[in-house]
Amino acid sequence: MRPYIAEDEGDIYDIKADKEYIDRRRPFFPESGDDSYIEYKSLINLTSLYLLPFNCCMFHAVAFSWQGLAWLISGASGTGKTTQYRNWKKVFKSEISMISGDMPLLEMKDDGVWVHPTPWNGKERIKGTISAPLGGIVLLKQADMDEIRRMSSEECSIPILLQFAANPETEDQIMSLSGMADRIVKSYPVFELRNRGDMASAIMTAQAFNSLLTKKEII
Amino acid sequence: MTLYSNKRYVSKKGIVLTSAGGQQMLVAAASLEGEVPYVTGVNETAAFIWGSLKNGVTEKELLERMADEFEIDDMEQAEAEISAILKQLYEQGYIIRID
Repeated sequence: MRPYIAEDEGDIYDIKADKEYIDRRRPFFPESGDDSYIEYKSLINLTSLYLLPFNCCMFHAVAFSWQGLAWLISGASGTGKTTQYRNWKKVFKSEISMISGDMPLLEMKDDGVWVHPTPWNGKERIKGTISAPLGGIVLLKQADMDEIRRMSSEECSIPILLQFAANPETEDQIMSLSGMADRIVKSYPVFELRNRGDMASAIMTAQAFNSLLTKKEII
Repeated sequence: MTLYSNKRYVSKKGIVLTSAGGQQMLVAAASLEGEVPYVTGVNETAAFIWGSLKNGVTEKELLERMADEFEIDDMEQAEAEISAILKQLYEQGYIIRID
């Protein structure tokens, strides 16, 4: 883990979702007539698109560090991502450090995929300040039972691609996103967790992660 | 919808055939949001067909190209598969028919 501190000022980009952009996006938010919400989502998308050439993109998930690695709990809205994090926190307490409560930044580096915090922390506003190398990803599904299984790379590729917070506008952007998804599903474990949102499901997930760490499937 | 073997089909612009984790998929640009699904997984046959659709192609031409590319034992079955894939791509909005 390392502190999230910029090494230099770098380039500064002026990213904004102006009225014209918001008007164009409004039809795709039928559930919300609130322009501030559309602007919020649009800024995430535009920021991701700006970052793609730097091999970075935001990813819809709760991200926390445990055992020196970043673990992502992802899934559709309302599937209990924050609940899972809270359960982990109850079980593992100070062993867990939050990276991002809603929208971590994934960076494809030579030494692996790194997970960073961003200013977008979701409605619960749970935020972190550390970065860590990726350990694995859990895709949540609500169920009336707890069950975890490792997904094949072929099977999880589309669900992973869908969790990137970017609406690509060009062929290059589409290829960047699918390339990132390809790298993740080929290099990192992805699990499907059908769960009731209880403590048992968090412990079950930790055991699955621990099993990988013991077998040194994750470096 | 009825498909005619002499009708020509062409893919819409802004859709990219790509793959991740061994899964081939069609991914649509944001400009097509609401017109076609963002991502759809496709099999090997559909991916081959997609590659032929850019400049427009008929079912008959597709069948000939597939016969050149693959060993086909049952032409009727291949024709049915092509029709089914074109029908699905058409209904999902990925391709248009040009008369």
